[in-house]
Amino acid sequence: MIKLARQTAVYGLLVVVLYGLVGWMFFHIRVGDQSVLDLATRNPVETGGFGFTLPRIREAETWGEVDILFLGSSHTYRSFDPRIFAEYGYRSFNLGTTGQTPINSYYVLKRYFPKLRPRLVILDIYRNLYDRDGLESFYDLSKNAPFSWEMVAMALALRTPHALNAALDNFFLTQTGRLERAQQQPFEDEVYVPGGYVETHKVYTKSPNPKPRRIELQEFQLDYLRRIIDYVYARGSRIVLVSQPEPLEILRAVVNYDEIAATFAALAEEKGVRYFDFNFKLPVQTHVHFSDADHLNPAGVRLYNTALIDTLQKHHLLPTPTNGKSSASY
Amino acid sequence: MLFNSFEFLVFFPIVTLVYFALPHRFRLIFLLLASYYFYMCWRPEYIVLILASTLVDYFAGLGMSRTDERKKRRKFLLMSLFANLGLLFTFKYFNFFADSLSHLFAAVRVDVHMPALDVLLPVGISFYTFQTLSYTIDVYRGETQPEKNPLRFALYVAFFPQLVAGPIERSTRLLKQFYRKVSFSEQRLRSGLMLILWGLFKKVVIADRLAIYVNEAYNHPGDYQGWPLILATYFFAFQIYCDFSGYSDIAIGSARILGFDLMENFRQPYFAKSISEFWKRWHISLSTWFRDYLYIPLGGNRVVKWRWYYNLMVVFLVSGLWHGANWTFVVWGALHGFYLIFSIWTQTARAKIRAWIGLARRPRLQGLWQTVVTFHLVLVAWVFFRANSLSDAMLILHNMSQIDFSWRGLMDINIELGWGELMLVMLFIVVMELVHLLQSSGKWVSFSVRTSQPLRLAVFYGLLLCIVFFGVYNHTEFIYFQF
Repeated sequence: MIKLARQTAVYGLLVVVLYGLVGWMFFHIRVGDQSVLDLATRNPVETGGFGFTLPRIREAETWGEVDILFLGSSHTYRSFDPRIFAEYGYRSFNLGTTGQTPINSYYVLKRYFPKLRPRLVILDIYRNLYDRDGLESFYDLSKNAPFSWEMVAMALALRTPHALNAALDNFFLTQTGRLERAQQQPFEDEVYVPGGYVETHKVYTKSPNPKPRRIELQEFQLDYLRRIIDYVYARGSRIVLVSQPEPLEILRAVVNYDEIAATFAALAEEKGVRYFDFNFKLPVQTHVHFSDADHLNPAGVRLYNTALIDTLQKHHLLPTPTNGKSSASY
Repeated sequence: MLFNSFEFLVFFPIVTLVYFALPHRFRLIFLLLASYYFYMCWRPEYIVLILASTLVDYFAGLGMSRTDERKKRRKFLLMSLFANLGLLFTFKYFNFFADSLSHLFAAVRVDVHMPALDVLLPVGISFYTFQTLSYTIDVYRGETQPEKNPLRFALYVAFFPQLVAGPIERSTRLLKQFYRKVSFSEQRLRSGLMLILWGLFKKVVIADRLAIYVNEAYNHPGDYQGWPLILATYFFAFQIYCDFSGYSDIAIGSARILGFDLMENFRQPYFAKSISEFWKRWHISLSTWFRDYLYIPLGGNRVVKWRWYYNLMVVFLVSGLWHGANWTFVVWGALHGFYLIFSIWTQTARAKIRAWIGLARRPRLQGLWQTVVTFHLVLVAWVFFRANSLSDAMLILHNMSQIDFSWRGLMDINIELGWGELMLVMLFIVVMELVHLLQSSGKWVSFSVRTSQPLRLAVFYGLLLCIVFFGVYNHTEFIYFQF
């Protein structure tokens, strides 16, 4: 038995070494415009691609301390404009990334909380992401954020070899300097605003007609939401949960909307945090305040951010501005 | 719990370690509890069905052993048949028959409201009910002794490696093995691990990647014409083979490590030279089940010709229905039945044609021709098996014939999978078929045992790295779980 255990340990070690070596080879061999590693893992994300994660993460490394940190998915980086918060004297940073689910937010927070030291964390709750596994966001982060142990921890938490392979790719991207040399691609009608916000100058003109669907909230994602709250509290900061307004047609298609809203409200109560769901509450119009069926345009963002600041002020949840109203630099 | 999940990766080594660490007398109960846990990971409440099936058949077996009266023995057999087929009917077929009856009544303009059951199909129900049924039938026939130890019998019904998708084991094989005192064997560990890796390779590297292409084409048949649908059908043939035989390999490999031998379920089916040979190579545990418990009791081929044809058709219709409560499966079964009957009917004529064109003098060429024809007949039947409805199947067959022979048409086949991925998956299929060729030539036998260690390790690590790098992990269930 001891011999078998020793053999297993040796074979295991050999697996790790071979995994690294073969991964290195696959990282360098390209088929068309993809590396074999991306092809095998089905990772469609490009460094500096859609979502502006590359400049956002670069800024997060050096932005310094903030009053408010925003976390979440594209609903976050397209819905919270640090310039508006700066008008009220708050220095903030938007750390939303594409498809960011709670499991991703948790590790992003662990990585950047010590650098940004926010006094208030605003976490966007987008219910659709709670029935996902978090891999999409991990792919995005692995292509745009430098290698860190939080990245490895997130890969292990996702429990899929795809994530491990993406973490390996992230390690090679960082070590070879490719990530450092990468440039953000431009996108039509979209502007990256320093502080993490992405401004989209479009007005949605179509009529959304989504099929009715039921969303099953994954227990492990709810569990990570609890962990995020605990993490922030343990560091003496506050956290608030919010949901950005969406077009009514989209909301009506979610057949279990009330059930989901009740689950989040119950979770917030359980953890002693406030949850503000702005759906059905703000006078948003599909063809005025949205850039597509999911995201607000600058007019919608202003309406939403102003309402959010009012609400937070009313409930005494906002910290005292660091810079004072007049001299705030977002 | 899926074999290709993180949970199984943790579960199986723990079960193996504890199993061999325990004294022999505790091993049965431990394996039984592990098997129940394995099943309950999916939906805990449905364990009741396995327990019910176990209890009914255990007592039916005991009851039959206590009497020699045929009439009384038959009562116990009927009790077992009624309970198991009743479970199967309620959970799998009730809604299908109710729905079909509603349609039938609607066609003759009679408004009848048929009730529908709001139940989920219990995973593996078709497998464990057939397995336990084979036991009571064997006891009734006097071909096996009834099992007196309830734990041993319960483990026979619920043994986790083959619980949810077979192989459907006979009591005469598996139950007897639970009497053996198993010791840990490094050789079994090696060959079992190799088989598990081979099964995982087929499942996650080939089947799950092909599934991406097949699902897109077959779920939107109206969107595609010609090559993509043809390619999707070829891909489906390999997908379902890799999916199901991959599962069987993992099951056999896991059982082997624990010291048990499960039956072979696949023997390079696409190398078959006739449909009847195909069924001797495809899902062998089910084919032999139908042969022993349905075809032969119906009279087999020892009857007049029309009755023989009838027997064949009944077996294949039931086999189709066993696979799923949908008319697509019935048509799939009927097609196979038709192929067999047609091949028997035309046997002499085909032999004459082969002799006339000189094919009979070239056995290799004849073999190749027969393999190609058989594979394509199977392929046509797979269209019905995979299509979401009969109308979809007809649409797919129609759209398949709209082939664009231009260069652009040929280049337009990369739906959902890019060219790189298409090449990759085709390469893996070729590798698999080369291994099959080696297997069928007998050169593969005991590879993991006899070959030199460096080569064995190279294959082991090669498979492992292929699985880690090229596997598709999006929590897809095994196709046969739905049956």
